[in-house]
Amino acid sequence: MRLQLTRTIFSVGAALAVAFACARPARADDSFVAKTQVYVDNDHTTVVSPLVAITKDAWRGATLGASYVADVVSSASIDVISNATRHMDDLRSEVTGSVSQKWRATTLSGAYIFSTEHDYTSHNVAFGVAQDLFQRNTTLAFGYSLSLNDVGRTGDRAFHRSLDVHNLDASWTQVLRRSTVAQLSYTFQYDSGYQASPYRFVRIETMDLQQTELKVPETDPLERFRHAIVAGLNQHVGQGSSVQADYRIYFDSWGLIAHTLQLRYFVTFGDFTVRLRERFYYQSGANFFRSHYTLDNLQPFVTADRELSTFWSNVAGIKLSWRLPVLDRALTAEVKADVFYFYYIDFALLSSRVGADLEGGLSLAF
Amino acid sequence: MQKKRTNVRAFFVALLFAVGGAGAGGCVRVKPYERELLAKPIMTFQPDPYEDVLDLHMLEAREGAAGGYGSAGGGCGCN
Repeated sequence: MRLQLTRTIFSVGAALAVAFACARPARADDSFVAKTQVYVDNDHTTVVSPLVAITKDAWRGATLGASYVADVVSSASIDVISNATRHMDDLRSEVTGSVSQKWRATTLSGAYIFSTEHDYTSHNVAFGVAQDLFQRNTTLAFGYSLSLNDVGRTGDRAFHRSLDVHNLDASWTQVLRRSTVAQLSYTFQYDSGYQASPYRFVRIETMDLQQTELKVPETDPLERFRHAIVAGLNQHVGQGSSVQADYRIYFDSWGLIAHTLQLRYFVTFGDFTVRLRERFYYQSGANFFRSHYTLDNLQPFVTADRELSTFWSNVAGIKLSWRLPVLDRALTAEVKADVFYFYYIDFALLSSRVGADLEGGLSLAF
Repeated sequence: MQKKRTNVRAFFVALLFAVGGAGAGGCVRVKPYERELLAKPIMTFQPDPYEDVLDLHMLEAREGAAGGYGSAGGGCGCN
């Protein structure tokens, strides 16, 4: 893991050096961003995620983008040790190439994302169109993405399962007043293929006196229809502040229903912007999730996935951005700290999880 | 049956966007010279899309729900 981290930090450092060497006073919307997020929780999981991204105006109305993000994972979570593994390390690498073209009030966009880890490969293509209407008081946007995934299993070269994900997005952004914007968005997602974990086994309770332990591979349905609707409001208040509130309702064909409520407060003073954030999340479990499965009541689908159990979580945090007094204030530094708490209502192996999500980064407009 | 119900839902959502967008846009007209506040970065719903990529990937790996807030990138993130 240390070697992976050293290589990643070296790559980010080299990219930063190139960007600073090319830096000029701000002219266009070209930008370079480098940031690193560190996730840590009391379930013995740490994920370090460095990200570098560059956007560049190409020809008239066109913008090209490229980014790299990695997840350097070290975990001895309950999910890992309950499957007779003491510890796991992994590296996920993701590269993205994107292009967008603006013609008057219409913007077309496309992207390709490739993600790979030692047991998982993912190809994603995305297309989108956004249309400004009524003197830019209304924006309608539609998008489609397709994700083709190959799921493998460490130590078993013969194991390959596919998962295809189709995603349709629609959003409607509406200016309501000089200081108020509202947004309504809808996402439909269709997942088809292998959706269980190849490492996860589910304990089946037997009633025999010898207390024989029976474990079967996790089995999820092969299809999932998912719907998410988000309504948001952004209100400017005072001299340099805004309050954003949004609510999401999510439901799917596995019987899972989730509610998400988020509040964000932004305040700008001089070259500083502070963001305070509060996010509450609740979900009911999938209809085939049980805290305990028994042999005399065995069903076709069994899971030990806590993400399919009933739980609630809360995230609260602060982010500070500072436009540095160098390079004509084209350089911005940021730090973020979110703390989170998950409470699992019917997951037998873990009752709660607490942790933090820390981030630091630099962005340069050139 | 499930597929049919999904198609009906998708149709009504599309209809809501089309009719609502046209109706609301016709009523509200903030002129370009009145957009001083709206032009500020703090008035956008996604002021930092790169932060959202990292944040959404982390959340979608740890929650059963997904969608509505943009792309969380690719890959598994199953741990």
